[in-house]
Amino acid sequence: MRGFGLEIEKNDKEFLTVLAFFAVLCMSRFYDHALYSHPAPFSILQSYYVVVLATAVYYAALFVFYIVCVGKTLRFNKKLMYYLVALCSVFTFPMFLQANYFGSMDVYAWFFTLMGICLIVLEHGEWLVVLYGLLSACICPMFVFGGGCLLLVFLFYQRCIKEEKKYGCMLLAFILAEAVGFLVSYVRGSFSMDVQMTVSLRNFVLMMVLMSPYLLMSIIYFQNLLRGAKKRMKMAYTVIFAGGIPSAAMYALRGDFARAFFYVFAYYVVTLLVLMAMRDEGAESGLMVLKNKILQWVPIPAIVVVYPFLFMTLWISGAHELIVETVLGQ
Amino acid sequence: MFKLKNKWNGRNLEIVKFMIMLTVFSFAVFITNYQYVIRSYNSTMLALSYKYGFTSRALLGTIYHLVNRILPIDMIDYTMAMRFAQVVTALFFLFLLAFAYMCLKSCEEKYLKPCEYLILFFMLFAVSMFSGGYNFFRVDLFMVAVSMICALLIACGKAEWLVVPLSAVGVMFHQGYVFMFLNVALVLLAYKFLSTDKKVKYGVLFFLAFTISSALFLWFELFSRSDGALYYDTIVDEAKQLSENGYHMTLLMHEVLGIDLGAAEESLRKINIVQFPIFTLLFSPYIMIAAKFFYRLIKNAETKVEKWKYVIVLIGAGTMLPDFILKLDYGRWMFAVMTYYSVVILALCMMKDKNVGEEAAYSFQCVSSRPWMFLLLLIPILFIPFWDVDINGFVQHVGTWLDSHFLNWYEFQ
Amino acid sequence: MTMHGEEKKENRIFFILLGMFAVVCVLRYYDHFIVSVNTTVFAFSYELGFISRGLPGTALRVLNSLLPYDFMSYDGIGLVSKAVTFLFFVILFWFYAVCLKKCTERMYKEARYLILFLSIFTFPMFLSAENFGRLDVYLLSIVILSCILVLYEKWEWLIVPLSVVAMLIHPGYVFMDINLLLVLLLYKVLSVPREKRKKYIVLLAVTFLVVSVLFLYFEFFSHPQDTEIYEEIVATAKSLSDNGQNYHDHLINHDILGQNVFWDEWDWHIVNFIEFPIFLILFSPYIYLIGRFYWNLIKKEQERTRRFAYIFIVMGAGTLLPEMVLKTDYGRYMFALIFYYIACVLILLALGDEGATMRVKELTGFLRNNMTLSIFLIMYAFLFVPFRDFHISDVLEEFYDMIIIYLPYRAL
Repeated sequence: MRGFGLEIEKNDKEFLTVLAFFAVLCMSRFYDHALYSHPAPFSILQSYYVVVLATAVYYAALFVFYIVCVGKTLRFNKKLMYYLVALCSVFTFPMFLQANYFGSMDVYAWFFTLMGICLIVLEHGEWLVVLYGLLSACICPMFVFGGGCLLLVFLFYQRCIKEEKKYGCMLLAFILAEAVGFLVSYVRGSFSMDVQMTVSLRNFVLMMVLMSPYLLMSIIYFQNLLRGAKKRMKMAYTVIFAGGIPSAAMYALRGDFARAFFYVFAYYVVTLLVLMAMRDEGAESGLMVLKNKILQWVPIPAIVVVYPFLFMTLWISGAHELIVETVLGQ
Repeated sequence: MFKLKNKWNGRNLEIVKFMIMLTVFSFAVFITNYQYVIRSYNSTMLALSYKYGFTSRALLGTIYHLVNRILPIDMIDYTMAMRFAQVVTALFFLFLLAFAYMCLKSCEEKYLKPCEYLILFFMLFAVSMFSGGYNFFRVDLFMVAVSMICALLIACGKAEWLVVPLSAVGVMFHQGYVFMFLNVALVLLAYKFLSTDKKVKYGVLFFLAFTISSALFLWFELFSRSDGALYYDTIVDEAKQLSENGYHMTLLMHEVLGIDLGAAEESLRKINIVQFPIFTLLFSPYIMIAAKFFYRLIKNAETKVEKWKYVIVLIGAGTMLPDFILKLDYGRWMFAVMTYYSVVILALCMMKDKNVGEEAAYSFQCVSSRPWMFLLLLIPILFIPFWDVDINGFVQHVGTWLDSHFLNWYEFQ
Repeated sequence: MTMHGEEKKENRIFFILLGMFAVVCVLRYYDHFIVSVNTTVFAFSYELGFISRGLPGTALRVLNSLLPYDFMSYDGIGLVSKAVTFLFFVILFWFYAVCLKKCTERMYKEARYLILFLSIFTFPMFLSAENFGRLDVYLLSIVILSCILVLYEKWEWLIVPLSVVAMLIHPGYVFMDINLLLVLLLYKVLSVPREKRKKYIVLLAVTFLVVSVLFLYFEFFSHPQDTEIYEEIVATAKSLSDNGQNYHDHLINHDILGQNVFWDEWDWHIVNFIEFPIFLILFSPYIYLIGRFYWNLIKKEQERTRRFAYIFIVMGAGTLLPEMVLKTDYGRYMFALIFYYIACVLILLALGDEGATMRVKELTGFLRNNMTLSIFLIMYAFLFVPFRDFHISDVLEEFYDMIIIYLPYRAL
């Protein structure tokens, strides 16, 4: 751990352990024991136990990502980080357990993306990111617009902040890799979109209206982010801000509202985490302002984490259906 | 302008902010749990009425028939039953919010935070329970409302004699009120009996509430079957119109004719036995917090009378025992237990009980000192909404899995 | 002066709103149906002799012969009933307008509330199936018209022929409606200066005499007691009803054959015995308020003659007592009682009676201090409307259904 410059304290360990318990709870609540068919480049990715394994690996990747983020954060920001990690878990834990999304190719792609982000944050073996981009694009071509943007955006961010040629090359290579992956899946004929009608349009609109406070929060945050930044950084932040739009727009247009909801939130929360882990000063101060605003206006701040979990639990992951016999009479 | 500023000082502003937050949150809880259906059990209940005899559970139906008479619309119809249920449920939620507001208004500023958390916790379960399809428009809603009104009356010390007729009304909604929710009123009366000088008043009120409820309970349980056969066809006919998809025969057989069809009890009991330990285990963090709270509360009480007061508050939920032993709807019992503790502690905070406030503040401090404790607010979301025989979807899911992989004990599916 | 104008304007707005309320009541409570008791009565006519309740049927026959429309049918009766009900609303609004105009300016607000409260009961009353086109609506219109004449002090002699017409329409006028007019006349006798007093004494005496004579005649001597006529009437009554089959046998038995129908109506007496006490309990807030008002009115009055007038006003409703003992339509009687007591207050205000003004001020002061209570009292009144006939109202019928099952008697 020390080798990567991670500082894991007692509190962090405690928090992550409890979070692991929470993950187990989520697994028992959301796992439907059912695998539906999804478009896949290789049929082996569709067999039940491979999917179970992949999902387990996805969880492991999530925890690695959390450890990296928490370990990299400054000490006085740790408590804030716990909340961010929990907020991230609220979206990422239940999503790929529900029957409609269990075993969809996104799981594999997310694994590669999370690994890539860890490498970028740790600044170790960053060239692997190009490979990850290629793999994720091959397995799940549509992911290029979703999680793929994450890697792209952070490579660009590094290019802006470090002004090293390495990152410029990497950026180009990454884009090329994505394009190649896209092409490969197109040629192989595994290019089809995995759309699940989990949430109705009515519920989606309702959800968006009810989640509007989060839009306000993100506006406050990005305003503060952009305010004190230099011109170059401003561009980086704008790109980061814009990166969440393609995936959400794409899935919303195709009618997969659950994914749209998930991607838009997961994208921005992951960005917050990564910026904090990279000790970006603008992000830190922006988040501080946001935190103070929340503390000022919300009597129970934890509600910010709890509130979206309601929708993830009862709409996205699906409420437990009523047992039919109890509804019907004789 | 100065006056306005004064009015919106820290405390009031805090309460208003909390209420806004709570309203939005409760609405989200409602909208995510609501399933657009009234179960046949609950709609069939509307067909009962005191017109067909002074039978148990018929008060709601009687009120419904009165409304049918007063309004120009024909209410004996599923669509109208749904409208009625929606209006009633909305009113109930408004009442819950009003209760929260009054509670915060009258509790001391130092103890505001723990009360807010408790209210949020309680609201989450209450709103989800009565929005979800299983318990949407179940009579429990009215029983909770009645017991909370009783708690409000006693806590505010206004028109306390109303507790007696209200208890009777609660039993008339459903005789289970005696076990499930009467304890709120009785414990608060006992508390007042021990802590004020008006011993005679509270003694008499306690005695009357207890005796009248018990008498009604005994009447409903033992004697209330009038010659329902005379009206059975009428009731069935109305029940069919009131239900979406056929009426609930077991209920009508039991309530109108006195024939018990509950044959599957033994196999359902197994569900309880599997689910109860799982639920207790999963809920243990909250149980631990409550246990520590009560332990310190009783230990730190100064006089013997005070100790007794808090012991009574602690064991008040014991009236649920017969239900736990004899009946099956563990989801409802769990909710009743939770309601009891939440409402009673909130009522004690409203009465400005110093010890309770101090201990609540202490517990809150303990809980918020650990960095991961806020996750405890996330977990309840996994548990909503509560059902009836199956405690909730989560426990049902886990229990079924446990049975099919290890126990092989369930007799169905 | 501006005050005056503003108050006038408020009155105008009030009447527009009241009109809208009336329209809403019509939309809400009109049942589009006439029950057999109200169609059968049109089968009677003076062709059969000078019988009681003969005038409406006779008038209908005259109309039928004069106009090309077939009035001797269910639809014809419906048309006439609609016209009469409309006329009743016109007269009622006229009465309200007269009361408001006559009462002192500082009492406008109180008078408006009284009118509103009275309207809650009065508007829906003659719209329900049971009471639409019932003879009560004719009688009430006539008595209100008579009161308007007395309040205006113009053409007051008209009340005698009007009363005669009312008696020809329905002898029940003696019990149910005339008390308002008689009490008003008596009040006038006791309060006007000596030179005018004579006129009112004569009016009172003549009205009373004419009405009594007609009543006695109708009750004891008017029944033809002829079975042939009976068959004919039944046939006509059937042709007038909604489905060509229904007719009201008690009515014919009573008015044509002169039978005592008390025991035939025993089931309905049972209904009354059960519903009336419950009604008293449910209605007790209003009974308390009205009772308190009249109690104070009498108690706090120093002048003896005036006090006597007040006592008479309170006793005036006693004319309903024989009806309540012998007959069964408690819904109508309760309405008559409510209308009588509230209309009396309005009339007293219109006459500028000092005592009544003071007491109303006191009462409204009490209500204004308890705003929630007064709003509740306005809303609560809607629970009771519309009043039916032997069932007082729907809510009470529901209670009746709950109680009757515990009695050994199960006829209905």
